[in-house]
Amino acid sequence: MPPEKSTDATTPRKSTYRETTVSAIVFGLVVGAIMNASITYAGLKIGFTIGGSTIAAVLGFGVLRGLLRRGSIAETNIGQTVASAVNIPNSGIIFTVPVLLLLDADRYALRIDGPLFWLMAVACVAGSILGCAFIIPIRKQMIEIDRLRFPTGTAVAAILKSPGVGVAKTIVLLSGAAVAVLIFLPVALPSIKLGERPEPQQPDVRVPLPGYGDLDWRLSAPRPADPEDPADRRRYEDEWKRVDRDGDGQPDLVLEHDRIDVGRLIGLPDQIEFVFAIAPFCIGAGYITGRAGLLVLAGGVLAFFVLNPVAFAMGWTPEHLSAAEVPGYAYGAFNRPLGIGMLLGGALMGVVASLPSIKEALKSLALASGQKGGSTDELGLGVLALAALLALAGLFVAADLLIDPDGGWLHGLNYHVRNLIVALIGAGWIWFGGIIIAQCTGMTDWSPISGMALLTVVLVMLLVGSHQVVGAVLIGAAMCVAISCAADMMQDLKTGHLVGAQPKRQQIVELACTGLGPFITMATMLLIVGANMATYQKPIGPDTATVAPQAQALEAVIHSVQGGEVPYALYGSGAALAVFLGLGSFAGLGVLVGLSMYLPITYILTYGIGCLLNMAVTARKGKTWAEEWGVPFCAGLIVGEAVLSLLVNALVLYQG
Amino acid sequence: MKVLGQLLIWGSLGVGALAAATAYLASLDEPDERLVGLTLAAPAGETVATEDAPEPIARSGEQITPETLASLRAAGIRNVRVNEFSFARWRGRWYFLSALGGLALGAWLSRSSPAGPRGAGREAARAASPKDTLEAVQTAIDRLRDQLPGLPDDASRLETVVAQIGHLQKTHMEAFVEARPAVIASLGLAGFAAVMSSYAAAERQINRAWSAAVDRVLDEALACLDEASARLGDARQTLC
Repeated sequence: MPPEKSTDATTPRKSTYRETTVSAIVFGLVVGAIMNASITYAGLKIGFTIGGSTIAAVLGFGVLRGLLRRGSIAETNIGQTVASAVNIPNSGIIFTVPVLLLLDADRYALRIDGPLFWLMAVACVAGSILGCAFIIPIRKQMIEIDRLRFPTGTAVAAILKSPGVGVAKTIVLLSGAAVAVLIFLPVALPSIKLGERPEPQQPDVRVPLPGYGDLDWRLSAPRPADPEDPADRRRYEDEWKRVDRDGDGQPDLVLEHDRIDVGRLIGLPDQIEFVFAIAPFCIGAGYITGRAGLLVLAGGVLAFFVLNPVAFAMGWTPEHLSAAEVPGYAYGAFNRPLGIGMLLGGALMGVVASLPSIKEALKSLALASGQKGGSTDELGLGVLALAALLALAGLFVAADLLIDPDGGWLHGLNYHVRNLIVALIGAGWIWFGGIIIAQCTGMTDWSPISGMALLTVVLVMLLVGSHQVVGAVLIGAAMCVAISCAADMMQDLKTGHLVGAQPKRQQIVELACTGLGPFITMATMLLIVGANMATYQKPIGPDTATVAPQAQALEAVIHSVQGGEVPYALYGSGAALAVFLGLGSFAGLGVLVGLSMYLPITYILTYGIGCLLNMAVTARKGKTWAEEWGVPFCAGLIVGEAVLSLLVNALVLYQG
Repeated sequence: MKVLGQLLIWGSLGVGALAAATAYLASLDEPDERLVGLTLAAPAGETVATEDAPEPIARSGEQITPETLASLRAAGIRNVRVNEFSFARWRGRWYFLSALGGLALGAWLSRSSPAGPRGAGREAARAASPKDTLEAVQTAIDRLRDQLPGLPDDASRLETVVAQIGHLQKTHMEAFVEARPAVIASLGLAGFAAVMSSYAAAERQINRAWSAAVDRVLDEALACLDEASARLGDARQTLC
């Protein structure tokens, strides 16, 4: 782009720097809508979603800077902000709303002409606005004062800045993306099914493309037994059971489509799960987080390498379980509830420790809002309060029309008062949850949304009665959408800080556009349900193309609450541990430890590789080199996996 | 002391987590009246069924009866997992409470030990005090502002902005952020927040100047440099 002409370098001129433009917003809306639809389908199919900021940033270059030939860094940032704002609500919705269809597809049918569809959508829109409005005042605290890393936000900034950092660093970024595609391609390929199995008894089954699992890298078979020696025969049978868990007569694969079982390869006891996910994104995020990410690994080590083996050795696990089944059992029995409790306790300590700074930040916000003619870096408290009130009204209306509480802790109060209390508690919970998720995302890039959904559903069912499933899911969905939006907004604001965007402009466009996302997700779900009904005579879940694994987990939790089986003591113990852990020098340490007890160890271990890589590169080449060259490469890792995932998801959606 | 404190913290966390994992375990050594009527949260015991696959003696969701207890004890089962929590029945409670005490003591030891010497920085900027580092940032910005009018054309001005800001971001600006513990030690958390509020605003303007220069919009870059200098002045005033 040629420099703008000047007549006098010392005279101030009117700024013509492109930022919040029509092309950026239209680009963001279109890309966001497409990502939302394809990721909704993929999420219902495989259980996790992607944020979309990295993809939108890359596409922004192609469209705004390449095709339209005028996109600036700030303008592309607005484009990716809008795109991710429209896309991200799908995370919250697909984790919660489908559970209604799993519980009772007839009673809770989602129809375009039915009130449930629209009231759920309104609640989710309310959640998205509340999530954004509540987190905005915390921007200063998290980004400017605490300097949280927000790895994806940092990676997106690296992408946006690539035109200015020189060809070498751009090549490094693209190399990272290429490496990620090469590594992740065999993981993604099996999702794509082509052709039909040439067997007459299964003519309609399509054959997946080959992946890592087809490399046939297996454990060694045990050496044959001495047929005369009964002890040796027993040894042989025991060893066969260890190497052939699925009982198909062959030693199990060490390298599967998406993971490598290092523990079994090196002969660790079966109760110790030492499996690495093949996930370049995790390595990239771990590297960008750096040494602090090892604290995340600590919780995983505690759960999977201490608690599980000790529980097995001490006889705390059911006797019929084999050693290999212990990690899965322990996850549900105590690791996840403890981890969720620690998340809550750690977040509480983090908030308490930050209160002086939050108070200062709110004071300066209020002061700037009150100054006549004064400019402020972000939206004033008045605008945020208005947005929050309108969203709260929407949440209350949805709750009032859907919840008919006749049990629980609020039993005995007036109908509307009960629902108002539910809406207010929901809003308060959204505020707190948004802070937790934004802290987690800022420190580690992980968002324990499903854990928060689980807690929300439990809380609402306690308030209004355990059979008030619709109400619980309504508030749960609003909560999940809110915290997804809060985390996404903070990532985008981090990116904005690094490229010099004006926070207020990002906040305005995000608040204005985020409400579109829930409608797109709900409409996509309607299409999917319609297609499933036509093909499988079931709307969603097992035996359909979209098994909705997260919603199935929530269904199990709802049944637990209704059966009185919620492990409150574990939640409380975890919270107490995290509160006391936070008395040390790092108040929010419990959040990190709890998070990794709650997440699958496969991703945590791969993430830990990234952290260790950062430390090794820093020790060898220095911090500046590690930052200057390592971050663009790892941003490329994150981008490469995200772009490939989206392409595969779109193809899977097309295949149907 | 600090190392001892850290060891105590992590050790106590491990003990506490292990103790918490036993919250819903009921020992079969307890008297029958404490166990009968409880609901099993997981299958208990195993017998070998005809198909060679082990089957539990009691299934998840079953209520414990005297007969169930007798069968489980005869099979040598020591613990069962139940849905109901009882603090009195929780065998790990004293370990858990001790762990909380250990965490508190470890926190006190960590906080009360004096801060260790800082590792030597690789660049001179890192060894400077926060005040000096902040002054160096403002000096660099002001020097850049003074230098630009003397350059031959806009293209060279833009290149100079990109190059010098890029260098500043990697040196003095990063060093000031790393001086966070020193600033908190001298001003407290509230004072640190006030300094960072102005500094971060300046930082954002500097980043914006860089972006505008890359995008060849000189007037925006100049305006941002002016704003950055003003905000840095505010930060220095607060720091002093």
